[in-house]
Amino acid sequence: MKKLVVIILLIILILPSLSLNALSKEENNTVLSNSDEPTNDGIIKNLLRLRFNIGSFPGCRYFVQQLFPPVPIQAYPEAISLNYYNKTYFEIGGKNENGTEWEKLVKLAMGYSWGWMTRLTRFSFEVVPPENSSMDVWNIEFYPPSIEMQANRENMEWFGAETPLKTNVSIRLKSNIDPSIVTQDVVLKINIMREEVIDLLRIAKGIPEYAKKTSEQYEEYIKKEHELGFTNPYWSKPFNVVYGSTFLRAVLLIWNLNAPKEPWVDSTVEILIKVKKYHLAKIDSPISPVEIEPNQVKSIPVTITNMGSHIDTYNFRLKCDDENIIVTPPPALTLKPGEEGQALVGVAASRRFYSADDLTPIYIEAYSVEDPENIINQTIALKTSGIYTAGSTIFNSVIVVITIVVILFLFIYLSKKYKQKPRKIKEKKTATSYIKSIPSGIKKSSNKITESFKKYKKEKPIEPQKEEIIQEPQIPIPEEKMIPPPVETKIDADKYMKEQAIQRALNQQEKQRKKLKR
Amino acid sequence: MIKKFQKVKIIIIFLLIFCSSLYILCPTGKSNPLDQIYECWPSYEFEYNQTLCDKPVIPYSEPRQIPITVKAKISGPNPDIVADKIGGVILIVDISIAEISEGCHASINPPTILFPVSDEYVIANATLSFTIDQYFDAFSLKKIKISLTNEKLGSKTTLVKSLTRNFNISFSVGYEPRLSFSYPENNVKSINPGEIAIFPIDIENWGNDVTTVNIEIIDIPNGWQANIIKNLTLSTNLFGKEAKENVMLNVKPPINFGYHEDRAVIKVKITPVSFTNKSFKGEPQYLYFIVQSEGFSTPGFEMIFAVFAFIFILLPFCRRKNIKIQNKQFRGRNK
Repeated sequence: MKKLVVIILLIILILPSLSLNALSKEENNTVLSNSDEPTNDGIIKNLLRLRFNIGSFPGCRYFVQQLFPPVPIQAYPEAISLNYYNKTYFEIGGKNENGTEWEKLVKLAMGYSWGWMTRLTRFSFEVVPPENSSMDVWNIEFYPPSIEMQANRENMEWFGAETPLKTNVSIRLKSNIDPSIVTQDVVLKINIMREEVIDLLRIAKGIPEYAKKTSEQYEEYIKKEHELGFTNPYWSKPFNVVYGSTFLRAVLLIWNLNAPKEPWVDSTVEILIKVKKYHLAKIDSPISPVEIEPNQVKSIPVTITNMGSHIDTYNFRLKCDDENIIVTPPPALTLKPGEEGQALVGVAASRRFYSADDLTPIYIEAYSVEDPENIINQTIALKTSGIYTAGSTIFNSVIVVITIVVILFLFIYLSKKYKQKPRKIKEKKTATSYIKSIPSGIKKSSNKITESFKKYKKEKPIEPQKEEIIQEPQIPIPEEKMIPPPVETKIDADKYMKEQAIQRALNQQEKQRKKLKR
Repeated sequence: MIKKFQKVKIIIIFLLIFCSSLYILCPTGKSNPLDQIYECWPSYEFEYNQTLCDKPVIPYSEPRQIPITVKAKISGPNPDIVADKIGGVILIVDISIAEISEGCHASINPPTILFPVSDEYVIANATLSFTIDQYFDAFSLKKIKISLTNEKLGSKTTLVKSLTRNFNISFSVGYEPRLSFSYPENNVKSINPGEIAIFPIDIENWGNDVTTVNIEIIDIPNGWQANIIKNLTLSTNLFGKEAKENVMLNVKPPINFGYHEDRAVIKVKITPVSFTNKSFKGEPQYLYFIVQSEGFSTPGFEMIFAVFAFIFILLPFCRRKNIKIQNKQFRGRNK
């Protein structure tokens, strides 16, 4: 009796475990690498495996069924850089494992095995307001704003089933009304909202027509499910077909009685938005033209205001149409938002001899060192006027004075020369004629001449020579065309010449006396 | 009687063993101790490109993207039994940013990664993107804590329990050189050849580290001389302290004998270098100064010439004066 009990117990313990273990191996369809390896599990292990396998039957304790695998939805690209007021685009959707193709909408809507239960499946997109930023500054649009699929139980020609599971998102950032509030980088969250219109009547009718093995569409169903990545379509197993047609539809019907009517969050996508610095500056240059003389060096102050969103460093480039003018750009200037700074533009004017209010534009280009392509332009008008001469002011002044003096002397000399010319001619003529007219008795007797001179002197004193010169005509009269002087003047001149001659004679007489005394 | 009692005893024992066996074999009933034999949990391995993280991240720069590899498997008393049976089931793991240093922003994509249930490591990829939008001390360390949380597997009992694991990624803040210049006086000067043009320059450091400023004068025209301090170290303005220094640029024009009308543009190259790590250099900045030298340059010994000239001019006058005096004296003797 005892032996019988022991044998029975052993049979109970060992036989089922062996048989069920074999069954579990048959059902195993995992992709694990060690599944083909021989197992050296002990009895207890086998018993445990047996127990787990038994418990994995539908409705049992360890039963796990994923009706449809999830589709990870994400943003493409993972992060974007955003400029203020610039529309930037990215995509949200689900791609296949390789990341090469967009998944079809039907896959997210539970595939052809379960998608028929809903009359309409709609996915829409909703932005979660960022914590540290106001939604007023964000302008986010989705194209399309929602994607939907309409299914039926009879066939697989569903509206929107093949639609790629994606939407294009355009995002634009405005500046805040309060300029002191700067929108920083943000992780933007977008909820993918799911909405289903469950058709309870369809569920009550049982499995879809195309999923029945007798149906002509069955092959197509299997094919399409494989294309979607479902390696094991649910209705391909006879057990599931029977189970679904009987018990499961009742379960599903009850289960879906309380299906949500409102859209719910299916998944949430995150995207890192890098808000690029807003580089903007205002340059204030002199309104009126800056006056400069030739060869002068000058600094022209320009004011630059940082109107951007962050602390920024601005650099400058200068252009000038006139190659003879040297212009040097101001140095790099770092300014806080709203801060004003002064930059000096160095200018060395051209060494042109004469500039008559020549206007030359100097083009200033300011740019942030972080965004050299975004250029802020301004122009300075440079007015060059004046005369340039090589040398310093003193040097030039001395030269000018010397030149003026030389010219003046030359002028005086020439004018004197022209004045003396006619008088000399006249003098020669009168002197010779007078000498000829002197009586020979005068030469012989010096005493008589002295007496006659003294008499003459008493009668009329000798007038100064200067007055006589002034009275003479300024413009010399040519010798040939000389008009004889008026009678009175002629007489005076003759008298004078006579006096001169007398004086000379007296001088000679005096000299002779001195000689005689010696 | 005793025999009958023994039979009953045997039957009771047999029934007990049988029922127990049935209970063990048939796992429909709730049995916490036995369920725990099958209960697994996920094990993760987290790998990322360390080289990319070692490269410092400059504040306000473009987002840094780091590929992440997550390996997952199920662990437990009997993971093979579970994995063998439910291997086709997908373990859904949410990957997210649990913590991040202030001033840093990060996202991880995709937000959900999928692993087929396996007792051997299965690989999935994700991308971590992060930026810094505040100025921090250069080379300071920042941290991102990444959290992996899986969804529970099992309906009536837990086969793979939900578990959260955190991993840290650290990175350093990059050096951002930023200098500002101003001229307290001017950047152009007109001088005489003998003079020296002095240009004071104010330099401010707005970078995020103590900065050594290397100063160099380049492209000096022939005959000109210029000098400036070669380097100076500035603390940073960013964190409240004023970091401003004044340097002087001295420019001397050519002083050859003769009249000069020279003009030169003196170019000064300024390069910021991190004081902490000399290998981090900023882009050089250039300052320009216009100097114009105008005037007559004398050789320096012109005074000797002047003295000689003076002597030569005075000498004849003195001689004449002496002769006149001598003549007067002579006449006086004669009288």
